[in-house]
Parts: sequence; structure tokens; C-alpha cells
Amino acid sequence: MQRDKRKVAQAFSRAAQSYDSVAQLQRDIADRLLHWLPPEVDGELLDLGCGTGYAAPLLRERYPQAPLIHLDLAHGMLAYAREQRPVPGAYYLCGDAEQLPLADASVDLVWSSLAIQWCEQPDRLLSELARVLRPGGRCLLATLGPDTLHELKQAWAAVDDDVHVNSFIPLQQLLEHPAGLELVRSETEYRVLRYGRLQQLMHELKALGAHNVNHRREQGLSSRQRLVRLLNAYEQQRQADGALPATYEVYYVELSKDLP
Amino acid sequence: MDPKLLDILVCPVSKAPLEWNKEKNELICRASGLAYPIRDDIPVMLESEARTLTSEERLKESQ
Repeated sequence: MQRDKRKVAQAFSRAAQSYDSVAQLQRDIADRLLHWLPPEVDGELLDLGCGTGYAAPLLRERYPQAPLIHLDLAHGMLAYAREQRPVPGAYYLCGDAEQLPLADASVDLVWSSLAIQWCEQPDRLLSELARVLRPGGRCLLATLGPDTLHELKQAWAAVDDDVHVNSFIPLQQLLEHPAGLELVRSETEYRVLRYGRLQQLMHELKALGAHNVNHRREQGLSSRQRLVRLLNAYEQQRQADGALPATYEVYYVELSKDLP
Repeated sequence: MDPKLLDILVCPVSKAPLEWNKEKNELICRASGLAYPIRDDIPVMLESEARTLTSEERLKESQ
């Protein structure tokens, strides 16, 4: 299932202004990944898919001296990060994680929170990470697994056969071609967000720029009838406490590049 | 253009080093023949956004 990267970039650039208000999940996930940071780094940090730059002040606090390269597919996100979360020693680059514009062995630590789930070719991503990392360098990743939004997928399945929810790949598939990187550790976490109404969830997905970008996208909730059917199907999953659950399957991954 | 950034920047296609063309405010890769724009002080290092150098420019660049 190919995603159109231009559409991803445009969706996120448009969302830059509204992203922070609804991105508590992203913040929580980044905060958890922070616990895995090594005590010190020798050189450049790369915030891969930096989004609004939430991690920048936290990374700067931990590593006061290290140059911090922000990289994102969306120019609008970079401009927002620079404006809203300025940090000393920061650089901003518009680029693609699968085709990095950085020299071989130029980075000591890659940080990436909730970005690489958009990658189309994980083998290319990993070989690029291996290429830009210095020997001994580390890579901390938080990304999403295929169980993400399974309630929504299930509800849509009751409406039609189209793909409405982004499909993310399992961890084994992500790490299938490690390209010289070694898995240090990984954890899988299920985070369940709870909503009173399905419209809130759909609104949040839109505000995050994370509504479906897979090809074959239909017109979404254009038809009243389809919306009603979707709502009814999702209602079946309402919990005893009255909340509609939305599950995110989150992977936390640490990779290292071996010393020669 | 910060020289420290230019030191570690490469063309995402060829992985060759880049030259900064100050007049056009572009990052030039001779190897791939592509010119990357700098928008709002942010280098846009995407193949899809790059301009292909004209043969004239290529000749000039290689002198």
C-alpha cells in the first residue's frame, strides 16, 4: 500500500498550527522514549521527523553542546518548530528519512518519535540510518504497529471494503533488514485513548494530519448515510464506563551501530 | 548558509557534497545535476523539489 509522500507532507504542513493542542499522546510517547536516551553523546543529534519540535528543548537540556538537526518532510512543521521551540545550536532540514541528505557517519544519535510509521520502505530507512550513524551511534525510535486504531478499522469494515485507516507494519517487518544495525531493546505498548463521541477522534486524526493518506482513499465522511453506519458500528465497542476506545500500538526501539 | 551544516549536508540522491550558490540561494550537486532550493532559510533536500541543472549550468559548474 503506497502512500503519497507529497500528500503526507501537505497534510502535516496544514496541521502544524493545530497539532499541539491535540497531541498529548505524541508527547506521552516522546516522554517515555526520553528515558532511553544515553547519558551523553559525542556529536550531532538528528531529530528525524521532528514535527512541531516537541523533543528539541528536552534533547537540548540533556545534551547542551550537541548540534541538533531537525529533519522533517513538511516545511511547515520545521518553520513552526523553529518559531515555537527555538533552541541554540539547531539546524532545520526538509528531507526524507528514506533518502537522507546527510553525509556518511555524520550523526551520533538519531531520535525519532512517531514519524517513521509513514515510511514506505523500511529497508531503505534502516540502511539510511546505518549509513548516517557513526560507529557506536544509537537510534531511538517510537513508531506505530498494525493494531493501531483497530476499533476504527473494524467499524469501517462494517461500512465498506475500502481502506480508511492507515496500515502500519509489524515490528518484525520493520527490522527485517537491519543493514548493520543491532537491536538493543524493544518494547510494545498499547495506549488506549477514550472518547465520548467518535467525531472527536476523527477530528483529532484530522488535526494531527494523520487522517488516511493511503491510496484508494475515498471521500471519507462525505455521505451522511455512511457516517451513520460507521457511528453505529463503532458504538458496538463502547465500554461499560461509556467511553469509545481508540487503541494505539506503540513500539519503542533502540538500535545501535556496531563499532568496527 | 552555516558552513558547519554544509559540511555534513549531501545530495540525497548521489550522496555527494553540495555547493552553495549564493545568488540563486540553492544547493548544487554536480554529481546528480540537481539544485535544491533554500526556502525561508530551510534547505529543501527533496528530489521531488529539486531543479535539474541546465547543460549550460553544468558546464559552468564544472569549470
